[in-house]
Amino acid sequence: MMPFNYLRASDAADAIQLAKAHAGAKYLGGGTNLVDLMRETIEEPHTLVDVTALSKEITARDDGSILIGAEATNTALAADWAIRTRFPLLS
Amino acid sequence: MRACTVLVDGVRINSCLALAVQYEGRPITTVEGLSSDTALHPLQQAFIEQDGFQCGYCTPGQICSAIGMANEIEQGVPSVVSPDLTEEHLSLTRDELRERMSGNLCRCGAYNGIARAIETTLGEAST
Repeated sequence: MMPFNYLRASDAADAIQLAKAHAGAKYLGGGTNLVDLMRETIEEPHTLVDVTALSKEITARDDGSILIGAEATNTALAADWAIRTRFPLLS
Repeated sequence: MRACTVLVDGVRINSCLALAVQYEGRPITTVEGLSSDTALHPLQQAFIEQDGFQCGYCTPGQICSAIGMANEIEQGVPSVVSPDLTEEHLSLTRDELRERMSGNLCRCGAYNGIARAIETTLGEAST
């Protein structure tokens, strides 16, 4: 794995800003693909923008829909009561 | 594939996908952190007694994963084999155990011993 810059974004706007400011930056979430490929030096980003601090919300709304934040995990979704009762397939 | 499961704040993660810098300031527990100065963790002891390993390569991950899994059950996280998603009560049945541990592979095939070790130690885990 080659050396890289690591930056942590505080919100979506910040993430975009950081990625724009660093050529060749890649977003880092759970790392399931990217970290694997970095370990094999197939991916060699100069900069990682960690987006895991972005919204993890799972908010049930009055119209029956549920707002899911970009960083809500599959596990959190599976456990959430609104998802389990309103959208069981997603759980 | 969870060959190398560790615990962060009691939650199981794949350490192979975790860059150390991402976890700055967060408490990480590896298998070495489970025992006290004088005694093994009950689950470690159970792995010995129930023949839960041969080469031992997957064992640290199995044990950490099992502890994370028991926490998930206590938190009420369902699995694909949970019979009723609207049911609050979950318990660690044989099917639930095997499904929830299915990410931890064992090339020596010690699965029966692993399952027994987990069952006898954490089998009463439930919401």
